[in-house]
Amino acid sequence: MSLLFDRVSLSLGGSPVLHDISLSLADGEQAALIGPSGAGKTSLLMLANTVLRPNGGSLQLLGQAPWSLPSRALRALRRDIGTVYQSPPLPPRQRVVNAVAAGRLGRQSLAAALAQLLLPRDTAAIEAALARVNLADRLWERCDQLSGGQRQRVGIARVLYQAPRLLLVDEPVSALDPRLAEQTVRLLTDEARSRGATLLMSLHSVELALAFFPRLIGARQGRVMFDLPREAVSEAQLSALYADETPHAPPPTPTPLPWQRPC
Amino acid sequence: MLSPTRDPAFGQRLGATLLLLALLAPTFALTGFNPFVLLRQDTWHVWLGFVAGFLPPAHDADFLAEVLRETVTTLASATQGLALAAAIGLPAALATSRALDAARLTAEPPSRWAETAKRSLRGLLVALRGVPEIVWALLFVRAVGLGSLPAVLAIGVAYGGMLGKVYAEILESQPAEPARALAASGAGRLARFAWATLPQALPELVSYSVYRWECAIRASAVMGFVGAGGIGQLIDTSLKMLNGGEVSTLLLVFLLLVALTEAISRLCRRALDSRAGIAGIAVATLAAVLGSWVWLRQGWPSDAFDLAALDHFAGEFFPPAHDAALLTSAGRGILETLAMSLLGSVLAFVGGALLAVPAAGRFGVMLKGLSRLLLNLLRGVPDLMWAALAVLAVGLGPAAGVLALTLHTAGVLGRLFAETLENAAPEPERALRAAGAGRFSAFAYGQLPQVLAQWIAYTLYRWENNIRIATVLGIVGAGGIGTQLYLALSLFQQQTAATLIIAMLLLSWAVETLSRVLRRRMES
Repeated sequence: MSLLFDRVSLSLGGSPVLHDISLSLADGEQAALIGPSGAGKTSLLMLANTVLRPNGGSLQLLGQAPWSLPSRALRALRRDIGTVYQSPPLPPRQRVVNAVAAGRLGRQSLAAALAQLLLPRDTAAIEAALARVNLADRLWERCDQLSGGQRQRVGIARVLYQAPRLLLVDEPVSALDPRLAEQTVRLLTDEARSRGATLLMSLHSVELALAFFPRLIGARQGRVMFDLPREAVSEAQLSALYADETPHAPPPTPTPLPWQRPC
Repeated sequence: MLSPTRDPAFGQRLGATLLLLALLAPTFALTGFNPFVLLRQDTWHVWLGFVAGFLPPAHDADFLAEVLRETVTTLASATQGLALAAAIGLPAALATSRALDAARLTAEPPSRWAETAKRSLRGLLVALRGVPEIVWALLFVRAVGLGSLPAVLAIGVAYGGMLGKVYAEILESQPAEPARALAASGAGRLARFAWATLPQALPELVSYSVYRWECAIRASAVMGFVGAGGIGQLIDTSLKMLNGGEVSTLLLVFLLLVALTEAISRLCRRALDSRAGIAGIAVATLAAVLGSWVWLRQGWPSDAFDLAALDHFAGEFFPPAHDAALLTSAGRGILETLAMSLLGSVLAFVGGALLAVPAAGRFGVMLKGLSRLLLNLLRGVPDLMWAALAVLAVGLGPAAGVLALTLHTAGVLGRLFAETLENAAPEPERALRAAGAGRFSAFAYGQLPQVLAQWIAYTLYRWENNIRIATVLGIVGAGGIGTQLYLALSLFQQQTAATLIIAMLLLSWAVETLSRVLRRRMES
């Protein structure tokens, strides 16, 4: 099992976010996580990449229980988990080459990491990762010189370069136009398949989820409503999933990162 | 593996690094500052003994009574000095501020005579604030004798130049329409100020004056080093007698005094919101000025204001000396000053960065509190006091100056650096940690790129400041061109002193111009 949630629950700042989530993904499996805003999709992914720690239940990632590992082993586990974030966490003044190279910091000594800041290494592989998101020519530019969509693709290039065994992707196409969105989802699913990595991706677009993923997990108000092969998902289940979106959980406007605020 | 990298920024970075190293290398020789001494065990042994000598703080009743007396004198000198500064600065601002010019407010043609007069007045203000206040104090000690009077005059003159400029700028930053309406109906310059500009500008004028008062107290506390009374004089005496316990009591009292004035100034700013508060500030100011006059007046010689003698004293500075030997040694002094400021600023960058990381709370609450306390101590003690202490620790000369600049600037920068760290977005670093990066690697790739440019900008700004400070550290024996000035004035060589003061002015003017040009180029 690449990912195993057993009755996992999570509260943030005292208010419950996820209830009793049980979920498993086999090695190499691909699944899409869908549901309305505020359903807890991002929180679920942040549990799976160990940014958040559950309040109840147990979880295993790549066959290990992260929160009972000593810190060295946790680090070793983390380097095999890659995340694409909805707002790419890139320092604005950092150059694209370093932003992508940072994907492999878990495999490097501190000295090598620092030396690489001064004298970029392995630029061929970094450039290749960027080429797959059509950004090879931006290698030496600064992240704040890129558009929102381009930064999102730099974030994707970083996990391509990291080459993790468990790939978690949070709404990777929010800043992309429809054609590029489809291309990007295809790129990530192909990448995961060719390396045998496990892929869990949250998507706003049900169409993209149905088109690319054999398995759909529907989440709503912090619970899993259904977890089915795509053929078994009915129209009624989908409309129930997205029914009257607002009353309980007002869609949390994601707090913009400081450098993304309009000046 | 020395294959040429494809990194287009590589050449520029290498160039900048080599330039910094090339500038830095000679500073060690010029200042005699040996960083490796810091790593030797016996140095630390000596220093720990030095610090141990500061404990326990002296606390016998006689000494404390004297400390209290001199603390009041310090406070009174600052207050009296600022009153004098306002008496110089306010009329100068009224005369020079463009906000009150009829020619700018209406279509009235400018008077050439008035414009020339204003220009020369502005030039005079530049000269007043260009000479550091401690140099003014040194000059006034020679002119009117020891005591608190030279401190009052020095603060009055130097801050008068500053207030004149800043008051004028504050007036200029207000909306012009009210003054224009009055000018159009024939009101004179003073009427325009009193009825149109003052009501708008008053809160800002008061708030800036209170800030300057805080600065004046720090300045007044170090003026004792040149014999101008107050708490600094006690520190100077205690240092010379190697009485560490007394020095630490005095430093504590000084830090308390600074904290007290900061609290008062916060209170003033809050009082500005209401009319009753403004009236309260006015009454308190009047009481403080009168009280400090009464307190100080008893100590001043009755013939202190002998204008003919002052005039004669000023005349002794002309013409400035300009023999080749003096110019060469002044040049060497300037070089030493620059070397001190550069090395001190670079070391302060390192020290500030090392302290900022725990001060931003990255290693737990304990270390955060400790490093903040240390930063406050480093920043709270003025550079001249650090210099006096450093002279005791490492001996006379520029090495002490480097140490003093490093300590004080590390405190200033460390606090600013910690603030930028706290304001930086945590997401990039957290993402890297989640992908298995170590603590330090994640910091270097996630946080550092967000703050480094700001850190460098702060350091450059402080370096500019440190050049000015380094010119005066020699007054307490910590090297640089100030050493020569102190010597010349001690030997009554006023004409030599005049040349050295001009050299200081030129240096600070050159630095200001250079930094303005660089800043403009960086922004474009």
